[in-house]
Amino acid sequence: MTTTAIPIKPKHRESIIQSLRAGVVPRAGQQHIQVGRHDEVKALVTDIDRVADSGASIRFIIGEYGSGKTFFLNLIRSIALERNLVTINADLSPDRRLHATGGQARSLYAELMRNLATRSKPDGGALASVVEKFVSSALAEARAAGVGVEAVIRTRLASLQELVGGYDFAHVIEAYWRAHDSGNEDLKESALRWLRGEYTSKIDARTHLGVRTIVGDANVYDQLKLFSRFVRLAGYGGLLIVLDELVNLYKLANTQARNSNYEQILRILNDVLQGSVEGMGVLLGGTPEFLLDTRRGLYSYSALQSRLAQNQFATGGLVDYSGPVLPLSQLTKEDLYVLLANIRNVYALGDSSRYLIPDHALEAFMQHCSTRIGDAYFRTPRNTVTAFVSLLSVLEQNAEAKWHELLGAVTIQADRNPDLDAAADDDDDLATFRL
Amino acid sequence: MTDLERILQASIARLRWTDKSRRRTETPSLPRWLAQGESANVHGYATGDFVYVGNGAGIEPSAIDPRLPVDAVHPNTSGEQVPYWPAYHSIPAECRAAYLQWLHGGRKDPYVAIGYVFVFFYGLERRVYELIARRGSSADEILAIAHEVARLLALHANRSGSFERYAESLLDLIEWIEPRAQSIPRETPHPGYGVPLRIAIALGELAVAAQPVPAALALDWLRSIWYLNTPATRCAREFELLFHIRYAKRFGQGLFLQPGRTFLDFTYQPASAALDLINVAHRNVPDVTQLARPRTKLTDLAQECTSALDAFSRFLGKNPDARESLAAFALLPDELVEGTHSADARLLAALVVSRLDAHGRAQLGAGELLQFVRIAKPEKIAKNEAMLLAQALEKLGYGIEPDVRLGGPTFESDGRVVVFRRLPDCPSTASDEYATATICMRLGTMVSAADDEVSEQERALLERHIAEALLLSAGERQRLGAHLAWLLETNPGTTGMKKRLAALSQDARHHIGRLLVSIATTDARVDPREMKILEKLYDLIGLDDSDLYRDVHAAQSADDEPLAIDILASSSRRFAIPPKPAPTPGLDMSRVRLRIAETREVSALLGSIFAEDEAPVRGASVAPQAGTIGSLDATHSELLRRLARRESWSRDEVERVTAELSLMTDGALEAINDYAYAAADEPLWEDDDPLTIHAHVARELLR
Repeated sequence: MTTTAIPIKPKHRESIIQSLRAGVVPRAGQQHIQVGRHDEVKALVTDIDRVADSGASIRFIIGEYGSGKTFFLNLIRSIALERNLVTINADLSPDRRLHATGGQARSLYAELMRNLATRSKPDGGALASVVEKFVSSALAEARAAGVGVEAVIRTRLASLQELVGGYDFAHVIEAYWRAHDSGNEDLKESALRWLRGEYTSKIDARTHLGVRTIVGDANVYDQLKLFSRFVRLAGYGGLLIVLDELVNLYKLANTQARNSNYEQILRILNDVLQGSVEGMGVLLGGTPEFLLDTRRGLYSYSALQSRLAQNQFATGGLVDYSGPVLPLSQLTKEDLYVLLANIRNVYALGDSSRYLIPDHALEAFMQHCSTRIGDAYFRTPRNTVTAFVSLLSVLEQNAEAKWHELLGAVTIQADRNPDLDAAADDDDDLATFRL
Repeated sequence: MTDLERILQASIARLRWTDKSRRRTETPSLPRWLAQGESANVHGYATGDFVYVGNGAGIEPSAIDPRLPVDAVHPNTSGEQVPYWPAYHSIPAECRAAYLQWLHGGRKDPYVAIGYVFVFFYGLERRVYELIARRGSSADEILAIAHEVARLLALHANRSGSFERYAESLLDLIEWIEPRAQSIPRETPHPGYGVPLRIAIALGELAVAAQPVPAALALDWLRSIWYLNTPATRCAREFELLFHIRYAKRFGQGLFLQPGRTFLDFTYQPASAALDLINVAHRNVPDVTQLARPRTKLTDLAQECTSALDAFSRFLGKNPDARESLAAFALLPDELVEGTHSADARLLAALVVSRLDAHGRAQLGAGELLQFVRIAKPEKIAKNEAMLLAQALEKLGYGIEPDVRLGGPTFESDGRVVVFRRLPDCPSTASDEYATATICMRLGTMVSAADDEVSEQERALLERHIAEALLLSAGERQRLGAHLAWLLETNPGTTGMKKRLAALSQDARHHIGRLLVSIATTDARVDPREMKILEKLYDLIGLDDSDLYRDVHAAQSADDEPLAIDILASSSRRFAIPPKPAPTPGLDMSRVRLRIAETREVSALLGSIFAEDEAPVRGASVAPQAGTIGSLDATHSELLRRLARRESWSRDEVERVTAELSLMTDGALEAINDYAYAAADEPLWEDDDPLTIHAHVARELLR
């Protein structure tokens, strides 16, 4: 069975196999193993096109633990990169939130900026590339027109200055140019540090860069808005912000802290729906309880509840893909079968004559998993996939081994949601009072 | 290999093993173990210690059966015919000869076929199993085996990842049984194989005891979960030091770990197919290595350290022999300055200290400082040499005036400079306010140069006024003071300055005039001494006295000056929060705010007048050979042509090419790939260091 006709690069093959073997989602080549979810992908591609066309979008990707949220987010992220968007992504955690007063929001921003990726640098660390691409084009323009580079930069960034924090942002970009022009590595690094949100002291920022403000807990979202405009000025389609593990907001024990975070989400949602931001897309990945729990989830925040409520006509199998909430359907046995077939295909680099196991082995493998862990084998397929990849690896390295001899030795455990047993044990606000 | 694969591998082995054992007919006698120092003679070879001798078929694959033939004439040293699970009794006679030869030579050959090492290793594994079963009686022997494993590991780890993993794992097992083995030095861990057991145990025990994790252990833990990037490997010593310093700064005595609910357990996967897994029961040590928060804290810290070392690392990449130079020193993170090995840096510090006066300032000849930097053309000092000095002095705790980084001129080799002990917030980049302040100061000294009637006191007055009006920070005032000292010392000529001022439009001159007035009137009054200075300044700018009186009057009487309000409105965001109540009695803060708003408008204007060497935009120093490619400009096209010549480029090489073409490396690469996507639908390059060029794309683009 050949499932896909796209040629597979050896590099992608390695990346996919290594990631799956370690039980994590591949960062490249997802298209080779993507199964189903056609409508969901189509909806998100429309979103990306809207962002690239100076629009904005926000989606809550909601799915059960292990149902493939992260995989889906990475897939959309790589599509966005292909469409010449800049992407930034981060997992929320107790130390990384949208709103905070103890540096956790700044820390989220810093993580986002470290993971900044472009089509050419899909693995992140592309902040300098984006800044330099902007400055390079200003430089080319200055050369052609015979004027000073700083003047060109200032003119081009004039539109940023109408946004909060825009003046200092422009100043820092100018500083980056000056640093390059004069070979001042210190200044260059300072400018990047400022852009990455790594300054914690305003005095330091003033001393090193001559600016009065820094990226802090209070202005993270403003800074993201600035950045989404900046990437467009640098010649990219827009900015896609991918935030995963939003369940960490749900797990915040302190009501006020939780609500402040939800308020930030509301702010973003309002900006997007009212069209007051351009070229910015936001993807938020979370579990159903994060959305639906009326005591601690997004639904506990009434302003969000009304905006996020499911389309009341979309029941009984009908789905509405235009709302901000995108529920990810559970994988089925059939989906898993195709997924395993795709993995086999990746192993063989798309050459069906090199398949390591025949079709009926896929079924036998699924049967084996089913007897061990029941339905969980396709509902939360992480461990199933890991076991399958391990099996293929052994078969590949030991030409004389037979798959049916090995199948019995495949051990598999049901995937356990770590969120469930860690519900409220990490109230760091209390922990800081330890003497 | 994942655990699962190892289990699978082992089960394959067992399948094969049982097949063979079924075919066995005679009951074997257990082979004899040769303990440390013992040896046996087999076909003329000395086996040495730590091997089993006897008929091991079906029991122990490593056992040397002296009855089996050995082909001593054609020893198979390449090990080609050794299967994946070798056994002494089943390998060909010529392989047996090669194996015995290796044993005879004391197991020292670093190039021996790895299959033979495995055969020997199987024996060690079995002996460890036996010793564990006979618990307690033989701790010394198990320790001796551990040393032997560590020795083999050091010899062969780089050649076989598989052997490395099994040997590391056996050492882990021994350490678990015999804690004394923990003193055997082991390789620093590397990521990908999980956290080494000894680290996991140490961390778990600290968590139980509520003790902090010491920096060295934290670093080992980090190394097992995080891939060290170029700065951390190229400058390993600096990275380690910086990590220790920042770790202590951030976590004090160290990170505290909370023991979780999962406990360590350890399953030993033997390499030998004849042995089963051992699962060692946990010792009530919690497994803290999976906790996400401390891991994130460590990797964040490591990332910070590496980005702080980035510039230093790239410099070393280009100048591998210049680690001790002043240039390298200037790029070090502040924390590493004290422990520097740079002799130049220490000499420079000594020179400055010897010349400091009571105010913490030193007047020096530029030539005295320039001996510390290598000068390309002795007659002219380039900008980057002046910058290097400024940066190096800053690391040592000093500022210098003039400073190119703040728009100062590069000094002549016979010129004078002022070096001063700097406050922590002494700027290394000019804010708009500071830039304006220096220019006003310059105007002030020009007045004094024109006629000598502005007294020292008046100049001090001006200095104070400027600083207050522009809300300069303490560090900025300090630098301004040094700047004034330098101006007084060197008295830079006014040549050309008057002419340039005269060339300004009347409007622009009025702008400058009003700024000067607003600075003088910040405290809402103008005394005659100030008026006297202002009259001279107005004269210098080429404005009438009548303008001055009107401007002073306007500044004193009205806050609703249209110009100022416009400026304030357009830039209110930056100062959305009004400054807190006046720091100095008599200061009108609303005026101060106006001043600042106005400053920004004027500073750009002034900057362009006073820039000493308004650098024209540099064109590419290398002329492109042919025309442009597609939508790329000439220099980017040239870069594309050059990159296309090779398939792989190190980052340093790329930087050299882009520097030659006066391009920004990352920006230019990004632009080229954008073009490649547009024209060929594929990237031209991938990866970072080294950069991989796709030849087929290059061909298509250059067609």
